[in-house]
Amino acid sequence: MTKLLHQLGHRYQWSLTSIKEDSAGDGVIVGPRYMEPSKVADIPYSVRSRSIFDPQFFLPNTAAGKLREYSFFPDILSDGFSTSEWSIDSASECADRCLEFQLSMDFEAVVIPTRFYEGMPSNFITNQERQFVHPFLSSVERLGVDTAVYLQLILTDQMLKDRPYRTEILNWITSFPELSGVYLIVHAHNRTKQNADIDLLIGLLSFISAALKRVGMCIVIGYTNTESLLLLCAEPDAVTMGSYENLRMFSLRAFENQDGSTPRGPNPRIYIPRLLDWVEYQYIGAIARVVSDLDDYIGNDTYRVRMFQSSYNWHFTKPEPYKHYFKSFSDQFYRLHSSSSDTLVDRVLAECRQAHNDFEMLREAGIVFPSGSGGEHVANWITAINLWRQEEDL
Amino acid sequence: MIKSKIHVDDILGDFDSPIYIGGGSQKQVYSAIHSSFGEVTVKIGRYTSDTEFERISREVRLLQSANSKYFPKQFSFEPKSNSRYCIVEEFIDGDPLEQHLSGYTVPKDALELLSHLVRGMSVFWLRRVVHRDLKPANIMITNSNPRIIDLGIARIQDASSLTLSFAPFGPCTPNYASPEQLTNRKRYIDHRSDQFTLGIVLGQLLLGGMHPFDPVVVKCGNNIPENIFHGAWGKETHSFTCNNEVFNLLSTMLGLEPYQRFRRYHDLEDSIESIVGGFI
Amino acid sequence: MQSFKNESDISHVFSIESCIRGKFNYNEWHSWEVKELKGLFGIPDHFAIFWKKDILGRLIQRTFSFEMKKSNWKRALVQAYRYASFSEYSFVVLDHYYIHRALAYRNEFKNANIGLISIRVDGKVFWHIRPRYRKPYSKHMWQLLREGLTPHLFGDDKIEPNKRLQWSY
Repeated sequence: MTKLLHQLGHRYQWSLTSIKEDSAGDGVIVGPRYMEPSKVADIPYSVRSRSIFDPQFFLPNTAAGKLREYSFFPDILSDGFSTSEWSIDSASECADRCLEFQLSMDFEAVVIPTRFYEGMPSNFITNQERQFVHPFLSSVERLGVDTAVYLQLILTDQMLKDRPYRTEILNWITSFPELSGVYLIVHAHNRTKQNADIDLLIGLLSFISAALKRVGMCIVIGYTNTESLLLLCAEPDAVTMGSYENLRMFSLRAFENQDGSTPRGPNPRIYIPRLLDWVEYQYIGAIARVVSDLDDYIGNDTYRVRMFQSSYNWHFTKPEPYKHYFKSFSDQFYRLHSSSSDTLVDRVLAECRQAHNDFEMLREAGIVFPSGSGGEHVANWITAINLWRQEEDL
Repeated sequence: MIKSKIHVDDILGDFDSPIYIGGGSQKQVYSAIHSSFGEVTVKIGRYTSDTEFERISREVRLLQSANSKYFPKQFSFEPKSNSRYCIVEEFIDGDPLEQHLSGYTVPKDALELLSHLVRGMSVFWLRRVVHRDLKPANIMITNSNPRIIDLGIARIQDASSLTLSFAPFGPCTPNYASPEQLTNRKRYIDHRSDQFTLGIVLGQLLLGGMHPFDPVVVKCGNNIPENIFHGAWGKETHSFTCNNEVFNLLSTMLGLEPYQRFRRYHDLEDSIESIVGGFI
Repeated sequence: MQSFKNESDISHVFSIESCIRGKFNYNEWHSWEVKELKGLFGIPDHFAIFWKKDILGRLIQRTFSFEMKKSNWKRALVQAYRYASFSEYSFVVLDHYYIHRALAYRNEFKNANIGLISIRVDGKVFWHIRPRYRKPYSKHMWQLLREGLTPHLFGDDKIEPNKRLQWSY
């Protein structure tokens, strides 16, 4: 059964509270960008043992935020990371320290980090092997690691949509018998708030099912937004949910050197399970006028009650919208999983069709959603699932 | 015609009753009697570089350390003058599988043989050694278990005789090569390439000798390597489809891409065992 | 026919008073720069409150928001719909030169109850869709607007010292 993990970042405490108080989520993916080592150790063992650690070596020459606190981070370890000067000794030491840290925290699996590469570089595999994969695998053997080993991968949309390139990646990652699985992050250019690229979604579903699940590798997909419900069809081992948008859509921004300017906060939104999307909270009133049972759309948890009080001050720093999301999304997620009627694919399709119909009904009732937030993604999801299903002969 | 034949008389003088078995311009194989080891196989070859010599000696040491019943015992390995070497190994009293292909058409028999071969090769796959030439000619059927010969040496030696017109595709026997061997995608040549070859062998056994990628079996294609390249094998053949589990096993072993095959060799072992267990 | 160079040119020519008073028969009005109000769902290019008395002499108050665009009617419609969260009437005002693009989708405006007006460079206004009265759909936004505007109406810089406004929801 697919697990639902919290992608931790800024305000990670909301996620931890959500697991504890609302049983929303099965574990976490710890991100050192926002958590120093002592805070990682403070996570209860019961959560850590069902979680993994993301070393976040995406830009190894930039130790942003709390990454500076980790002695194994390449830029810290080598006192200024440079690809050409990254020696075997440095790589070995980095691997030893990073793995030792993960082992000391009793995570469910250890993760071999990856570096971010743009586009579809021809030397992608060679570079990954040299910089991290081989050193870490040697360290796994040296340290006698007996826990599961996952290889982290960041694949761009171009890589996933290109069948020959995708095949090369699959051949490569399945050539390591030491690996138990893959921790995959997808980086898509020009993304809208919801992932609606049909070819990318089909490529991703195929990657999960046709390859990894069939040969028995675990696959964890990080930085997922609501499309994780669509990915359920391929039954990965875990998907994620995150509070802020930068934890639901992968971007390098948080890992680059900031110029000191504070980014503008997001417009507060509320997750609406029936619509499979986040909607600007101001639209609630309009939706309430059209639908007969708003609870059916939004859910009825304590956070929703608080948010809908007239005195509530909507702001992106308030926890209620995000805790509501954790609770209502995980309820939806587990409901889709546990129902015995129809196949999982049929249930996900039914959920999508309902959302699609709901958006249509709301539009016909006169609600004008902004472009990219009006349910356009749902039609694409239905298409992606149907086409993938045909390919898989399901 | 054998080009520049290796001079062997000085070496063979150490043995009694040498009988020529076969070979090419870079290697000659004899059976003979050794004063200590009894009946042996003597392989006399020529190496063209120190690296090559190192590779051959490493593989001999590998065989010695593995001490597996599936491979001939290695008695000695010595460099000789004029860039030659001599390997003395256990003589295998048996026939190559290619002479017995029609005797394994019953799936249980074929799978039991396959099980032996996988078990034998697993010792080397564990050490990331790939045979690359696991064809019926290199599998000896004896009174006990099958024996695999020419581990790795064939891929070093006599590359010209093996590759023939497929020289650009690297060392292999084209009719038994995996797609990645045929296209010389070196990065992906690992134990799964041997698995593919064993899949071909399994297919041949079930077909009583016919090659599963043969255009006659597949009913398309111009030759076997072309069909291998396109993943066209006799999927519709009754010998394969009559048993679902065997068909699934074969389909996986003959996956066009390495990732489509059994990722770990013990998964392959387990799969074979579970099917064989079902026959009992 | 000429078109406007940019949206601010449209704003210079557009007169809310003459546009609305003529159509809705209001006799008093006041407009504000809503930019000063924080937290609203978007910033209208123009915002105004109009008053009139009904036949029984009771004061009727209505809020109007306007989104100016040269030609991008779709984006204008989205913005105008946002303003309907705090405004009883919301309009899109387009350059008359490009109005034909929006008119092909007039049903979308009707459905959303958003008014559609076009204006020519000489200032002539054309009414295409007149919206029906609608209570703002977000109580929260409406309250924010009230809190933001009340000081203006009851402070020292107000226009009518004895104006009592209707802010019920």
